Amino acid sequence: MKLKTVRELSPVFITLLILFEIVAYTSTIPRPQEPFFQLYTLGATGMAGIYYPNNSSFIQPGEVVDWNLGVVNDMGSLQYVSLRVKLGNQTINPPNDTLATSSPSPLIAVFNEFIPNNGTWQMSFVWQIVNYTTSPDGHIAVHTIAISNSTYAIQNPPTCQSINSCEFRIIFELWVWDTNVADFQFGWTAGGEPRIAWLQLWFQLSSTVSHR
Amino acid sequence: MLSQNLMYVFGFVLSESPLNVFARRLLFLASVVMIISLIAGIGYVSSESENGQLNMTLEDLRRAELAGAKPSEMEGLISQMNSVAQFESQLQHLPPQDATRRVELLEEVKNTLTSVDVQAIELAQIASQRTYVGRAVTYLTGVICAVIGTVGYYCGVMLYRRYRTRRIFRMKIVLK
Repeated sequence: MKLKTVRELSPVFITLLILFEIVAYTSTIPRPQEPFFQLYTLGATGMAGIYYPNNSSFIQPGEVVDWNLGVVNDMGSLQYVSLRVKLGNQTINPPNDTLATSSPSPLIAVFNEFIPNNGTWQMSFVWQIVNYTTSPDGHIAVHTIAISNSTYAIQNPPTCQSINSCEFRIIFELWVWDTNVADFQFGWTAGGEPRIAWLQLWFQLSSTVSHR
Repeated sequence: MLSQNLMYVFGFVLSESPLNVFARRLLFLASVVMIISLIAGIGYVSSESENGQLNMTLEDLRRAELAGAKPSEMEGLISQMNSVAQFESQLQHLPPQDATRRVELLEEVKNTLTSVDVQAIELAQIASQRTYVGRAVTYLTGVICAVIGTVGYYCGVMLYRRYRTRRIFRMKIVLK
């Protein structure tokens, strides 16, 4: 090949090289994405519905409620998460989305799991009220809840004025392991801003079978 | 009685004067406080070191993932980490008097974390090398494609020139 030909072909080669190397570069670098978690609760059938037996949120002590909880990790890396289950009533504050603070409701149980990137952790959450008390002035307090064959005693349980008159709620909070502090923190940080994920499901404690 | 026994343990006995009785009580209290703080300290240090080790292992696992470890390679390690989470859960529900089981579980947690950490570091090295080779091959493919493209362009130009030359030589001069 003559020197003149090489000179003629150099711009072509350089242009093609730049084009192909751009393609190679874009195929090797990871695409930027906003890190986030998804937290969801499904009913016994695995659908977003029929959360309570007989489709009524009036729960009797000993009545089994079957839910399916799920956490999806879209954070771009392996995550260690803690699902904290709390019992609230109408007056106790839920988690604060603006301040990214957790609910002061008493803790029932904690479930920890490592979730791979793009992985989903799904767990069966079968629960029932084991024990509740009525004070002389008629206040109701739930003391023990059974979750998937384990019984959990509730410290400082929230109260309600009277049976059938007020609602309780089960709050699910997603806590994430922060490697900077070597401990679980409520929520996570995305783009320098705190993000939280939580859910709540209401129920009414009932002494007799009652359907809405 | 206990304070007297402690005095013997510490290797000295004080006479029964009021000052010495006071000193003995003070020494006894100090010993009790020291023992309690030591026990509490051991628990705290154990929990702290556990968290630190778990944190380090998680960071090494993320490093392996970032280096390009495949999900199938990570699966086994994540499963072992989940067994650590289960041990931790068992530890929290263990009655305080079950010290033997507690020690066993702590030992299992420590051993599993150490094992996973070693495997994560190895996996990070292998994945890093594999990713490096993969990238080099991708960029080299770009160079090869550019060479093939240039040769193709050259051949195309040559063919076109030959076609033009033949066309010119086949031309006939027609008088108008």
